[in-house]
Amino acid sequence: MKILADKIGELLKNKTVDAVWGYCEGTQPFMMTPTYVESAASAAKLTFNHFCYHNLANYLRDLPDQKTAVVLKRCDLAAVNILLSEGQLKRENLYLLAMDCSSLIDQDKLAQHVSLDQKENWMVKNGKIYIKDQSIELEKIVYNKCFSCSYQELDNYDELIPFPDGIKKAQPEDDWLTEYESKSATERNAEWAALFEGCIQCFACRQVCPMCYCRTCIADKSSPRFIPKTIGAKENMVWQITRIMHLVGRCTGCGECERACPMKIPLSRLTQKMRRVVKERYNFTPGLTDDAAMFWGSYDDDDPEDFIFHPEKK
Amino acid sequence: MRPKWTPKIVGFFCQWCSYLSADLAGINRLIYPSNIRIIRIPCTGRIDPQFVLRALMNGADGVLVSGCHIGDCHYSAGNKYARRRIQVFKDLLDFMGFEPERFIMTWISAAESNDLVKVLTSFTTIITELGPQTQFTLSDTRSA
Repeated sequence: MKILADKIGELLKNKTVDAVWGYCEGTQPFMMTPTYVESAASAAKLTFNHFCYHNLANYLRDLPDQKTAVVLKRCDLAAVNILLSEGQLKRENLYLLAMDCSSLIDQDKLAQHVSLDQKENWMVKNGKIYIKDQSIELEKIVYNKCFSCSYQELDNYDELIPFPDGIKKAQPEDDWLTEYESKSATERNAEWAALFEGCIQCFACRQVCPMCYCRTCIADKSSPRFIPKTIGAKENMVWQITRIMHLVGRCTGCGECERACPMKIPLSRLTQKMRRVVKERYNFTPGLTDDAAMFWGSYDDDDPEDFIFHPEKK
Repeated sequence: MRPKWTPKIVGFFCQWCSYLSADLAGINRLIYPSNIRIIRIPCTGRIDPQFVLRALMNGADGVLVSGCHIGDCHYSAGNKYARRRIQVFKDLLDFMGFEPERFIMTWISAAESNDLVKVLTSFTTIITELGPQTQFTLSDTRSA
């Protein structure tokens, strides 16, 4: 993507920034890899396309005290906003290059149409991807999270790079939640217990999340031990419930945890549900500005309390 | 031979209101079910989801959190933070298939010992009907 590579080369040459976090071609086809560039000469390899999955906000903590530019999708910019409002990043050390992105292509969905084992030439144009001998409409293969992006209006970047050819219209979120919530407690429990039977507590979900930055994670504390070390469905659920609770009001829905999970546990369902809870009960969307009050650190006198138990009057 | 199952309920009571109401119930010789194990905490704002999960992993069949009424918190706003935290936690647990009736929160002030008795009687009946909690209870040979 020439316009991006040129822009970054210019920023490095003029010493506006000292280093850049971006994406470049990796060893796997259909997946771009994050890369860190410090010289204008290397800027040419930086690019952006519909396969840039990684959330680069995860790499921004603990950078040296210099100016770093970073290429950000919409959900990544929201994550940077959360980190800024929590005091984890210094705004003056960042140069935010926001991509005017509106969708990523889901590899699993694309793989249903085309084999992704080898590098293939592809092109996205006019709402379709042209690959091998097929043309597939983007709406069929775009990542679920992109349909309900709440971050199209973010504007606290330093520069916006146009990125054509995504799905622009907002669509309602996948209706799996309505169907799921009609199930009984026993059915739901059984469903999650079966999924968490596969969890191996590798903590990839934790490592890949920009918001999981505690120096000593609660899962690593052994005295007292909060998260059981045994691998079993119940223990794994306790771990995930703990992680989700720590992320409520801070998760921007980038979906990296689900993509990172080696056991294919649909973690984005949990994060999506909690984003809905926060939006519907408290009218809060995380990551809209870089100085918002934190969700867990605040309360409102009007917070709902219909869950408070009252015994029946006799 | 294993004795017949009776519910085990863990109660987290804030020391300024609810714990005193339990004390008052004792002084007045009020009768309430003895299935509850009361744990004193300084304020409901201290409640961490870990407390509840720990109780459940160790076999608690029900968990009760009780604190001062809104506006009466000894630390001004501890119960307001708790209200938000516990509502969200309940939503998450409900989503994962945990029966919502097993985890409740009430506001009980130091003088409301009669209300405490009502809550405990009512809650114990509900838990007895629901049966043992199995979603998070780890087996007897392992500790949480």
